[in-house]
Amino acid sequence: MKDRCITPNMTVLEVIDRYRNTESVFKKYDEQAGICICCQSLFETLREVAKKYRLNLDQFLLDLEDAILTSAFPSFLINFIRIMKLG
Amino acid sequence: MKEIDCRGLACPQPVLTTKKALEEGQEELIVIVDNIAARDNVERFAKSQGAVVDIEKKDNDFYLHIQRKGTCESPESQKKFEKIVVYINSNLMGVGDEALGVILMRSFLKTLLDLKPIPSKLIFVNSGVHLTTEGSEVIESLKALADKGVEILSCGTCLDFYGLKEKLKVGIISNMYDIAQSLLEADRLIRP
Repeated sequence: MKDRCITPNMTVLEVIDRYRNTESVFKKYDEQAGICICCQSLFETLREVAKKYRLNLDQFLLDLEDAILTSAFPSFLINFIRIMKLG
Repeated sequence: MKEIDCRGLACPQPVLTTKKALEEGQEELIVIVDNIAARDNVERFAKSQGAVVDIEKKDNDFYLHIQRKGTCESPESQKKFEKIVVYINSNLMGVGDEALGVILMRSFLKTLLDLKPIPSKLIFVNSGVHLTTEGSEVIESLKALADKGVEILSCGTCLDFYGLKEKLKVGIISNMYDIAQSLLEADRLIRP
C-alpha cells in the first residue's frame, strides 16, 4: 500500500479523535489484546500497542483504514481505491 | 463552571468529551467519571493540555476539577506557567565520579521542590529511569513534585530495557511520541 491516512506513530487517541468510527476496530482488537486498548493504551502509538499486545501491525492498520474508508465511501469505491493503491 | 457527566461512558468517550470542552474554550470544568481508567486518562489528557487537575472521590465516582493554567492570573504571573521541561537522561548528574553524580542528582531533584517556577514535566530516559523505579532514593521527592502538579514521565522502552517496567514507583510510562512532543513544545528545556 503506498499511502496511509493513518501511520504507526499516531496514538490511539489521535486516530479515534480524527476518525470516530475506528473505535469499533479497537474494541474488536480488545479480545485479542486481552485488555481494553482504549482504557489502557489511549496515549500509546499504534506501533507500541501492536508490539505490546502482539498484534499484527499491518493488519491492524488495514482494519483501521477499512473502517475509515467504509464510513466515507460506498463499497464499490473502496474496492476501486484499494486497487489503485496496490497498483 | 461547566459540569460534564461521563459516568457510564466507555473509554475513550470521557477523554474525547473533555477534549471537546477544552477546545470550545472552557477554562474550568468538572468531569465526572465512574472508573479508574477514565479518571487516569482524563487527568493525563487535561495535564497534557496544560491544565491543573484536582481529583475528588465521592462514593464510587471521581470528580475531576480541571482548570486551565493561567486562568485569573495577571500576564506577569503567567510567566510561571511556561512549559518548563526537565530532561533527565541519566541517573547521574554531571560527568565524572559516579558516586558524586548520584549525590548531585539526588540533591538536584530535592532542591527542585523548593524552587520556583516549578517545571511542568520531568522526563526520564535511558538510565534516568532508575530514579523513578524501585530502589531509587528520590521517590519521595518525585512524589512530592507530582503532588504539586508536575508530570513525571518515564520512557517505556528504557524501562523495558532495564527490566524495570513493573517497578515504576512514581509517574507514568510514556512513549517517544509524547516525549518528543513535550521536548518540541517546551518553552524551556533543562538538562541537569
